[in-house]
Amino acid sequence: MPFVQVKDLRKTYQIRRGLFGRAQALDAVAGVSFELEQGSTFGLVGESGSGKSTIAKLLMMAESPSAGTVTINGRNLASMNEREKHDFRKQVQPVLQDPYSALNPRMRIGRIIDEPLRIHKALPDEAALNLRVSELLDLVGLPRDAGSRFPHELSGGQRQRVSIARTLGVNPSFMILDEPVSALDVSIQAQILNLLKDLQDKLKLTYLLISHDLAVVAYMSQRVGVLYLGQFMEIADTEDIVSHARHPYTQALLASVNARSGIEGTMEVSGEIPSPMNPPSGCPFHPRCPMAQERCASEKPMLRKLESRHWIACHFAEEISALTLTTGEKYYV
Amino acid sequence: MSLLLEARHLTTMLRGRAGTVTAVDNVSLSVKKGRSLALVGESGSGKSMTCLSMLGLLPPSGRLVEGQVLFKGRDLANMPVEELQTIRGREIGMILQDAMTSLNPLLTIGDQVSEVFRYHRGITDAQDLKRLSIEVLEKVKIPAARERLDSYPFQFSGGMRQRVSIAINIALSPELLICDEPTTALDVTVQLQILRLLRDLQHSQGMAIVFVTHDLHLAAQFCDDVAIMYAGRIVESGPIAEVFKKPVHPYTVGLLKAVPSLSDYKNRLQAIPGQQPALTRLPVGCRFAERCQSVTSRCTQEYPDWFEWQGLGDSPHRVACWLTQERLQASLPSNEASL
Repeated sequence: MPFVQVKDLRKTYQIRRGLFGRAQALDAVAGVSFELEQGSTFGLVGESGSGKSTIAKLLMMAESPSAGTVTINGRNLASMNEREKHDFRKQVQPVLQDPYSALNPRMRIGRIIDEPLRIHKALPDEAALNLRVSELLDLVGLPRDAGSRFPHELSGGQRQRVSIARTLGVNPSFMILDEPVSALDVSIQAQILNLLKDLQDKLKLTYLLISHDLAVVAYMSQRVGVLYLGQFMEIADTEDIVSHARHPYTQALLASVNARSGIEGTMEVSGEIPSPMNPPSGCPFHPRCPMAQERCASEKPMLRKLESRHWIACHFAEEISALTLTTGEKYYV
Repeated sequence: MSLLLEARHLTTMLRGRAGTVTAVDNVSLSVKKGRSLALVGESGSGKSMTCLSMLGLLPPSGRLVEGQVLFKGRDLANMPVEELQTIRGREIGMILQDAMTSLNPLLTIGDQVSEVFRYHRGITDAQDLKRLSIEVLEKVKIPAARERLDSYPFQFSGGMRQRVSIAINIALSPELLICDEPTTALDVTVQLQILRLLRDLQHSQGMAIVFVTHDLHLAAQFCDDVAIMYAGRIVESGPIAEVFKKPVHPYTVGLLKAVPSLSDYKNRLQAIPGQQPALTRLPVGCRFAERCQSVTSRCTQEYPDWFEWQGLGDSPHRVACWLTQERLQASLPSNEASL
C-alpha cells in the first residue's frame, strides 16, 4: 500500500459577498486522487488559484475535506482519535514559502527549533534539548552559535534552514513543502533544494512538493501532478511529464520554462486562469486551450489512464503529439 | 549604433537604521537606441536602486552622491526636477513589479491612461482623450478596450493590470522603457505573454528597454546585452549571448549552474556556497571573494579593476575579476578564454 493515498479529495468553500450576499460555492479542490510511495517526492505544479496549497492544508489537517479520503501511513485522517492525531502532527510537518513570516521575530533560533520538542514532550530535560538543537543545526548546515541569535540576524536562506530544522526535531516521516524556495534568491535556491534532497536520503523522508516552477519540481520529484482549477490535468513520472507531456496545459507550462532556456517555437496559451467561483463548463482549460474543440466546452474530460503510469484528463490526448524536448544541452556551455 | 542612455560612475548612498550604506557603487552602464539591456542580480544587489537613481526617483533615505546619467546628451542626475518631470513619462517610461501598487485603486483605468495625455500633451477634450486611451490600450492587446475604460484596477487580472501599466508608460512613445521585474508577480504562462508583448512593442516602436530581473534565463531570451550586479557593483557585462555562452566571472558561472533547468534536471545542482555580504559589512576586496572557489590572496585585498575586450558581439565584454584577468590576458587575442 502506498505511503500516502488520496482518493477523490474535495474542498468546497462557501463564499459570501457582502453582509447579506448569498453564499456561493467555490471548489478549491474538485476531486483529486494520487498516491505517494514512501521515500519519494510527489510534485504538485500549478499556477496561483489551482488549489495546490489547499491540498497541502487538507493533508496536514489544517482544513477538513468536504469529501474524499486521505490515508497516510495506513491511517485514515478522518477516523483518527485524539491520541492518533497527536502522533500524526509529529509525523507530518510543513515547510512554508516565506521564512520571514514563519519564524517568531521575538524568539531565539534555538527556542524556535526546540519548541515542537517541548510541545510534544519529546525529550526529558534541558540538556537533552540543547543537544538535539545542536544536532539539528548541524543537520541543516547552520553554525552551532546560530541557536542564540534572532531571526532578523539571519538571511532568507538561513531562515529557511531554521524552518527545516524545526520540522525535523520530532522525526517526521512526511514533509509538505509548500513553495519552499520561491521566496529565496537564485543562488540560495539551489542550496536549499540540495539540502532537502540530502535530508530525504539520510532520513528516508517522503515529500509532497508544491511549486509553480516546473524546473524545480522536475529536479526534486519522481512523480508530478499538474493541477488546474482544483483538478489534475495530467499525472505521470517526471521523465514522462518533461519529455512526453500530452496535456495542452502541461505543454504550455513546459513552453514557458523552455522559453527561458532558449527553446523557442513552443506553445503559448492566451488568457489567464479563470476564477474558481465561476469555472468554465466542460474542460476547465478549454477557454485557453489552442486545441479546444466543441466537445471540450460541453463535456468534462475525466482523468484516465493513457499508459501504465501516465494519467491524463483530455479528450484528445491521443491526437496531441507529445512535446519532446529536443535540445539536450543547456543554453550556455 | 548610438547610445541613448549612458550612466557613468553612479554611486548611491542609503541611510538606514544600521547606518549609511553604499547601495550602488560606481556603476556605469549604457543602453543603445532600440536595444535592450538586462540588469541581473539578486535581491540587495542594487539593481532597482540603480534604476531609481537614474530617474531621480530615490526614496527620501537615498541620495545619488556621484555620477552622471546622460540621456540623449542631457544629464538627468543634475537637472531641475521640473525639467526631469517632462522627460519621465514622456521620453522614459517605467514599469514596476506589481501593477496593483503602481495603479491608483480609486481611479478608473480610463482616467489613469488619459492622465498621461492630459498632463504631458495638454489635451482636455473628453472625446479625444477617450479615443487616445482606447488606441493605446489596444496596442497592449487589452480585449474590448472601449468597454473596460470605466473599470477599476481590482476588476482586472494580474496580467491585464500589467498591460494597463505598460499602456500608460508607452502612451507617448518613449524612447526608453525601464522595467523593474515586470513579470515576477505573474503566473508562468502569463509571464510569457507579457514578455512577448514587451518585445513586440520594443521592435514596433523602436524603443530601448532596461529589463531588471533576478532571472538569468528570462533575461537571455529577451535582451541584447546584460550587466550582472553583485552587492552593489556590476561584476560582468556584455552581449548577452556571449556572456551566457562564455561566462567569465565566477559569480556568473555559478549562477548559471545553480538554476534548475528542464533539460538537465537529473544532475545535482551546483549551489554557490554562502550568501551575498550585507552592505553594512562589505569586504575590502572583491565582494564575491568569500564564496569564490578560485579565490586568490589578491582578491581579498583589492577590488578588481575592469578588464575589457571585444568579443563576438558589438558591445565589449567586461569583467571585474583578478583571476580571469590573468587567464584572459594570457589567452587573448585568440579569445578562447574559458574557465
